[in-house]
Amino acid sequence: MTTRRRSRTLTLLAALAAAFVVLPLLGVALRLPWSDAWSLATSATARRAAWVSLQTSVVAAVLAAALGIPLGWWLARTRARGVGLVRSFVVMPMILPPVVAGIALLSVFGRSGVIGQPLLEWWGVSIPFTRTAVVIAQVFVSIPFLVLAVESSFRQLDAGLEDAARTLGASPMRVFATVALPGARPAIVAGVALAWARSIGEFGASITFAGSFPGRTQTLPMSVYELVSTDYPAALSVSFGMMLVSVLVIASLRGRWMVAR
Amino acid sequence: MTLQVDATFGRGGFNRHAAFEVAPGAVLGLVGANGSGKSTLLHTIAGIDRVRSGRIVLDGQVLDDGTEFVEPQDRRCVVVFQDLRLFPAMSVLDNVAYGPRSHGAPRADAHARAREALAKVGLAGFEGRRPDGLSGGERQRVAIARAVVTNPAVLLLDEPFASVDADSRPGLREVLRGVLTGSEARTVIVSHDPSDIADLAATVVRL
Repeated sequence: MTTRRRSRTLTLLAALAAAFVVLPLLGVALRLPWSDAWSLATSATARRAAWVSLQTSVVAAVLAAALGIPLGWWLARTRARGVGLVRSFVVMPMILPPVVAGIALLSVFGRSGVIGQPLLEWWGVSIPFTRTAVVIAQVFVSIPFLVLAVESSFRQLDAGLEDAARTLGASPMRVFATVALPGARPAIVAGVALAWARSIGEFGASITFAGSFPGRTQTLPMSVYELVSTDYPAALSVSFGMMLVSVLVIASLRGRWMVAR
Repeated sequence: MTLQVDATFGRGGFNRHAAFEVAPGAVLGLVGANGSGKSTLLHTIAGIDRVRSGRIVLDGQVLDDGTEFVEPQDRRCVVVFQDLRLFPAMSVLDNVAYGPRSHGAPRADAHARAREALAKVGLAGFEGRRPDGLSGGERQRVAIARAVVTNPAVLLLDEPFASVDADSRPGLREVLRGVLTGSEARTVIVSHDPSDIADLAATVVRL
């Protein structure tokens, strides 16, 4: 009897947790001004922000993949001291407050930063408050998702196949390209999708590091944030659109990010 | 012009010593109980594992003596693994063409050589198949073709009869005999059952 009762309590708590997540999502749909939603979500401001979001998040996802896949590979196949330490630092952006991430990026790429200062002095290039800054912020916060997903996938691959490839004369680079990469493809697809979704939703780091200039650095989350105080129905409409994108990403992955285990 | 092994090898607390030589075209049998380190020795010759002490020399060139080490891809020591290790995502043809492609052969040339090797092991017509759609004996022959197509300096066969049922053994034996006849490779063939390799190997070393 005790097990019965305990399980009923657990069921109740589980239902509560599920409701806690689902209700706010439903709430947006309930409050949505359905008749005007389309025109509100496609206003000039929203379209500009959507275009910035789309551009930056796609570039960020490509960069995250180009940098994150080799890093995931290195983490999976290197047995040296300090690998664990590197991994800890790489996943840091996942738990770092995004605003702090923005400050950190400013401190590096700002006028007096280690990278920002030479860039400005030698080439007259200033990164903060540009669209490049939006991309950098997005890569920074999204790359851990990709690295973790591909690392665990590489780790699960049969290293014996890679040994076989090498004895057949393949260089380490060729082994990586022909044996490891195809084996990790599902995880790479899932990792890129997650990184892209995280980039689309990025707010704190970007607004700190890149600002919210309409048509230049203002992304969809930033425009929602501004609309909340000026045009609440429009904020709801844009939010609903972003929710649909999230649902699509989750649905298309069908639990495949679970390869992370 | 021989493969000379005089080395202690093994992993962790496990150590064993072996000393033998194999001349070009010769076949050496290596027998021993399960767990006697036969596979580890083959992996050490191929460069997947390292020697503990001693040396492995091929044609006067040190492959591994604890300080000098030739990377596996530069050794031309090819293994037919006990667990085969066929590339699951590639067709049979691409599996066999992998070695020539890795050594820089153009695609068409590599494919032509792969077809020839497949025919030699009796698998003409299997080019487009995937490894997981083959029988144990067929997979074993793909692994053999994938190894010999590279014209290896050293051919290392790990329990080639282990994953093959009794009916397919005579056929596989013929395939191996055909492949080894006229080959210039220094061949080491490992088995836990001496009778399996008695007629293939001229000399037998017990580990």
